[in-house]
Amino acid sequence: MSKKVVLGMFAVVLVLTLLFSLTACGEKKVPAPDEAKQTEPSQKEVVINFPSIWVGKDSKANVFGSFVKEFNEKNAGKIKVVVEEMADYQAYRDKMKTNIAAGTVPDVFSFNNAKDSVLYYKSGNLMDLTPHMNGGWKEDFIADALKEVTYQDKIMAMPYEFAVTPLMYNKRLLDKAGVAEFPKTMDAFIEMAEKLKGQGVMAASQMTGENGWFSMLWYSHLLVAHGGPDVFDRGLDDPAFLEAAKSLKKLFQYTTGDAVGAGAAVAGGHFLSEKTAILVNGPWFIGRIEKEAAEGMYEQVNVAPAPTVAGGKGKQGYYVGFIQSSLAAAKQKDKAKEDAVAAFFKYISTPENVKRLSLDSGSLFVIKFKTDENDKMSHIQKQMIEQSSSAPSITKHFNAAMDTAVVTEFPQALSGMILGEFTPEQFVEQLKQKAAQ
Amino acid sequence: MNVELKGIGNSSKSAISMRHMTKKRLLGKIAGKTVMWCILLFFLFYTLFPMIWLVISSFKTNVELFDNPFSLPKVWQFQNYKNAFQVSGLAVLFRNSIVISLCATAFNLFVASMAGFVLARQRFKLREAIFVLLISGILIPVNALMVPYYKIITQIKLYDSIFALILTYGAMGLPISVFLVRGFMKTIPWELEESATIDGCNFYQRFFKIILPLSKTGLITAGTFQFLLSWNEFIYAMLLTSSTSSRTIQLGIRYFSNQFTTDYTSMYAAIVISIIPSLTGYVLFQEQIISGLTSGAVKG
Repeated sequence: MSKKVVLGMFAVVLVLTLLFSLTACGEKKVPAPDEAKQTEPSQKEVVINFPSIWVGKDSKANVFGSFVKEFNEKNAGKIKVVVEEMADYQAYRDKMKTNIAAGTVPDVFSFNNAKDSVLYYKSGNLMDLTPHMNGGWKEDFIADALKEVTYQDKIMAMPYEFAVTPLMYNKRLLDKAGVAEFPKTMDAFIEMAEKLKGQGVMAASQMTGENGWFSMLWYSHLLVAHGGPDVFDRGLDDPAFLEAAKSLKKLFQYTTGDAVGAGAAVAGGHFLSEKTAILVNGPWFIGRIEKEAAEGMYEQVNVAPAPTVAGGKGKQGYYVGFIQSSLAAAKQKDKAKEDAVAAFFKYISTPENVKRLSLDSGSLFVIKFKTDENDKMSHIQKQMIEQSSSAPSITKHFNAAMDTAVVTEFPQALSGMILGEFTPEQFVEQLKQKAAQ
Repeated sequence: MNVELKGIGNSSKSAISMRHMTKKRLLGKIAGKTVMWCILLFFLFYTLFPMIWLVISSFKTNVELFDNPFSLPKVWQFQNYKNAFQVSGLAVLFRNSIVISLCATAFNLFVASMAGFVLARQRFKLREAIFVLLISGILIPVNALMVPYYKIITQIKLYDSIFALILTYGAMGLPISVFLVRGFMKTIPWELEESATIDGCNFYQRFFKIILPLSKTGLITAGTFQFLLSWNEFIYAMLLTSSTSSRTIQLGIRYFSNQFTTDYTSMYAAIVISIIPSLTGYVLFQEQIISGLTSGAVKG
């Protein structure tokens, strides 16, 4: 290709892109978080900037998008919620942390209730929702939900999405292996796993890649089975942490060969393609089972509480559950804006709206609502609600109970234990060292 | 007769042995070429396989992908490409990426060429210290600068504009660009500049008329690195923008990855689309890029 042609093409591309850029510059843009907060006078339309993860292909995206649209229409000329779409959750967390570090908290944002959430509360940059909640609004929430977001007697956020993570099992595969009932004890579970192995199916999906999510949930269940619902209160020195590690190591004998290093997509994919019979995960996975699982599998998936262990403190039917996400708002100097944010929170948390969101997405929420026979609810979601309602205890998962350093260490330490580099004792020791740091 | 026969016999023997040798050589050549081709084909396959896998996977359903990652799609899912454009607004993001990458590259080369010229061709105190200070930026992890960059961009009211990314990317790539351009400029003979000075060229003329044209190859190498940095960057694109009108294609690719689920096949379709400009750029400038990489620009 001659030099002139190359340069000519380059010049054309440059001119075209500059023309495009002029068009792009002319488009309306979202104000910076602090810009929106400080420059909008109260008598004008209040603009609420909301970076949201419930966008794109998220199961809540459609209905939540409708909430924003409806709210904006209802408050036309007075309040406008501008959604900043951020589908990637890790990126979202990084941006929120940077915003807070830079002192520019978005008007509204969501976060998961990990132990680090207290850092948000301590920052002094969040709006105190207590005066708004005292008007009867707090009655809509399930018991104890507000405790999770209360700091120094102030309600610093609105708890929203709730999650339980029972064992989802493929009944079709269990039937094939001659297992009539889902095992209630760990011994029966291992017996079932052997039978499944005989049929060429692995019992459960496990993973040590990413944050080791499915295996972390298994570990959480085993911790409650061994140490009871208050296991996290006693810390890593409790013998339950070691016993649960031993049990988890044993369970890895009944999983796929790629579990060490596998991510959620791979491990979840094994369940969907019937290579494994059990997956521990939350209600958000129901939609994927319905759309992506092997033919006829969705109807065959049921849920069950995790098995108990001989001599363990966990009672039959125990559940692992937690507040999955809460919404917080930036502290506002402008009273009109504060009221606007509270009005938006109230709108998205009315029992009617939460019901719409729950039925459409399959997710669970901490806001109480009633269902009737005409409501189309997934049988899996229904079982989760029924079982969690009658569970003797609901305990948060390991990641929600531990410091970030321990949570980050978990997948590496687990990989080491499964590969035989560490004993279960050394696995727990690794976690303790991180906790000490 | 005997002699003749002998002679004939000898010549035919030598002809036979020559033929034998030629055959041997031929066989050796064929064997050598076969080995060479085998090695070349292995590396071709090794290099192209991920790309071919990506393209094929972008036409599958997620179920097919998880069930058998190496199979061909039962039905070719062109819908994934439709999703890539419809769900994430890829067209606008694609356009933004082109504008931002080209402008950031132009800005970066403009500054790097001037800095490189002074640091390579002028003698002054602290020259080396300034150079080391400039290129030490290569060692600073990008994550460490998130808060300062965010604060600067919001302070100068460029948040959520393409200029925020043009400035940031242009600045981020400066250490490596200065390093490359200075290295290349140092290899240009001093006599050329001295002759230009004797002919009456001033400082600016020596830069624009002598050194800059001769540094074209080095500039293209630095420009290629800068373009790729701007095209592939994700963290700052996410941090410094909030609306589709100023976001880049990398954010569009992540649009298919949610808190708990990922639509891998649509994401792969978006990735395939995002690769096109880099490939086109390489096809257009491959001679300059290769000669830049081999003729001093990256030799320091």
